[in-house]
Amino acid sequence: MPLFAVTITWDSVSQLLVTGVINGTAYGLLGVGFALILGVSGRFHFAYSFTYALAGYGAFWAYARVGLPFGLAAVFGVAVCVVAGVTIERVGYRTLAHQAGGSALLAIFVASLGIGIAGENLLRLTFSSANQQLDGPSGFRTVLHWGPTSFRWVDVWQVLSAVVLVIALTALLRYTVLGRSIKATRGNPELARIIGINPDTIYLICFAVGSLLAGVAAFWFGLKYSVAADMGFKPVIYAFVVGFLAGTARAPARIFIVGVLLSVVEQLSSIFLEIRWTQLVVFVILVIYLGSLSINWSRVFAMIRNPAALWGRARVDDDEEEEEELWKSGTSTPVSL
Amino acid sequence: MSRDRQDSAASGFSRRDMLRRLGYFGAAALASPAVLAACGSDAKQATNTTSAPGTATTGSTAGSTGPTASTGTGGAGGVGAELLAALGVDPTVKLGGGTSWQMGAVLALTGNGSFYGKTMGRGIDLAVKHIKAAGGPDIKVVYKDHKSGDPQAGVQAMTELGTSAVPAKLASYGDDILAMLPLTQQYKCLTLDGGGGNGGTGQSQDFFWGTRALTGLDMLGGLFRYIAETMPDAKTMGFVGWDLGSALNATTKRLVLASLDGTTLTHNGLFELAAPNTTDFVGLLTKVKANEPDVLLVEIFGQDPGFFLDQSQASNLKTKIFGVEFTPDGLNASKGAMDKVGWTFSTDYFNADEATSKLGKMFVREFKAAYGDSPDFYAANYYEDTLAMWDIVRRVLNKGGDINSGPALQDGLKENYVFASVYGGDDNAVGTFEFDPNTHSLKRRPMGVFVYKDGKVKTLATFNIGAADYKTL
Repeated sequence: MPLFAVTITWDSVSQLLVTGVINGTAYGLLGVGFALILGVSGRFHFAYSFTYALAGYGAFWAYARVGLPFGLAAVFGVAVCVVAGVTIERVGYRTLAHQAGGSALLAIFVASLGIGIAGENLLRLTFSSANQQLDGPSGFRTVLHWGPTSFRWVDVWQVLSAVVLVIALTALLRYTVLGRSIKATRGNPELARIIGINPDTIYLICFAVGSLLAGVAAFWFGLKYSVAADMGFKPVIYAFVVGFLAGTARAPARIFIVGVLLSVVEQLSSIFLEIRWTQLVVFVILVIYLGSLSINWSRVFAMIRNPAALWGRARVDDDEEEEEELWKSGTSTPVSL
Repeated sequence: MSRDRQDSAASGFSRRDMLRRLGYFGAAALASPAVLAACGSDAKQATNTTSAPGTATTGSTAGSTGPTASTGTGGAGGVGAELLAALGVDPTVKLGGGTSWQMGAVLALTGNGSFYGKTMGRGIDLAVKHIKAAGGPDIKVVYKDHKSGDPQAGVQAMTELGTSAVPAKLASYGDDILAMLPLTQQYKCLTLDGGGGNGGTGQSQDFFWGTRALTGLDMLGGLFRYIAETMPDAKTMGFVGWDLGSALNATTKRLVLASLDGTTLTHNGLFELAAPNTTDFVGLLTKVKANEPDVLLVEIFGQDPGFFLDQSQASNLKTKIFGVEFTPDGLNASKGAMDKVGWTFSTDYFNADEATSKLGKMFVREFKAAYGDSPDFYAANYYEDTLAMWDIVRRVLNKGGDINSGPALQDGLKENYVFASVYGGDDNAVGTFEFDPNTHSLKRRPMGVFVYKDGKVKTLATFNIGAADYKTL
């Protein structure tokens, strides 16, 4: 894994930064959607990958097969994704949750895995195993140059749509009754029910919004690359990482920014690593973060501030060991006796 | 602990050595669903082709729709005579007419690579029809499905062929990534693999012969000579390839760089690997841009070359890119980039638009008549592999041997390692490929440098393995 095997210039760093931001908006958007669903409903929605792919296939089918105008096809694809997400919650997860009781989290996780795998294969059966090309108007592919960096119009649209959606969701959560209901349900569903909020309805709304965000991200992905049955797997894994890193109860803007930063770090890591290793960086960050949760940081900081306390504690431990040895040798009795 | 904290917490560089080691590369490349991922739904094929032991299925099974009547020279009989003439076969020898002979075909009939299983099957079906028309045996093809590289399915398929005493078979995916090999040898089933070849540990194995050049290696000599002749100012080369595991990556690097010895090119230090099925090459292209060589060798497969070329256009790369594969998948993924700027590649590619021998021209014409489109290189490989099997059968018959015996068939193969090919040749001589008796890989196979642009593939140079018979066109 050679470091600096090749030359890195400021121009290339600039390009990596821009690419990181562009890709990061997709990570962020998915992270926001995933966090909304998991944070509010407690459903570990792994079938998110299937609904993500459905958006791509929906747009492809409407545009390439039916011949709808491109904009309408895009809306149709996203709508398919939303309907699928809501249906999975209403028909699948809710039923399971009511039946499984205390073990609902595990039951839903397993069910979502099954739905994801079955859905992916259903797409293969319906559209064949081949990747499908979603070729939109050529204007989307026009290359733009900004200083030493280059990108395409499709990237600009992706970034703009992601930012607009995150701002809209932030406003919805902060300034509307619905938003306050969602936050109340996230805080305590049973208490929310007592004050007249139906958590089941809120869950459906969260699935709809989360699927909408995924659908938009999937549409841009399909337009940039291609539509494939397994296209949702990697993005959804990233969404999980972003959601966990940012915190599923956090504000959408914060989660979105974490997604962008994660992508920027991933891109910049290619300065030090071969490209094939850069994806690992994302997971290394996640592992470090999860590991850090088990550390009592206040104690660590206290020790840093007062190393003597650490020494004192060590002295106490030494005394206890000495006492135990004396007790074992019969020359002393444990203090507790 | 807050809710989200709870959430978070819950979660010696001889040619033989080169062939043996780099053979892994071709096998691994063919193993990837991306290489063989293509269009075509396959549920019907799956039903039809996972036949019970001993069930012989022919014709339309793998090819989906069987070849229609020849339009070439006035019917099947005409094609038969034309085939005999093209192959230079003496019609007075025993051709196998009136005999029924079973041959297995273990292909990717379902899964990601099913498109290629279908096109391979079409090549086989067409050859079977032509052989019969030429007075050869009635070949009953027993199609089996390895489900696009599933070793378990491959083993099951070979078990069924073995217990049915099928003496020979055509295989793909490097005999299903070598999983079938022990049974191939146990049942003494002569096997030709024209899809993945016999790279890696598949070399020098009894009953197992590869009929493809080794991907990413065998063409290097000819490609570098082409570059020297057409780009005399090119001095540096960079490499982008698939990440196939550290051991294989290291071997690939060593052998590719060693291939530069004696050429006009030097390595500029760029050796970047991407995961198979990568869609986003922007980060990698940024590194290429910062270390831009005169020539960039891109050994990636399936859709990946299309994505790479498309994104390289946005990166404004000046380097000349050379790939090692051209498929419909890659073409689609390029979103028009291959048509716009061209895609130059070097491999053992069958260019249907420029078939040079009588056999090649006849094959293209008949394939188009039968299926309505041009044959790709997999169809060509399996057409000529079926002809090779017939050649072996003829040898055994004319020696009074048993054509239902795998060992007898392999002895027939060893009588002469040269076989007719739809690749290469001219109006006076049929093209040929030749096995290496030691490695069981190919010693000679027509290949070249090609460019796809504006809907057509054009041949730029032709040569043989190791740059033999090199010719710039």
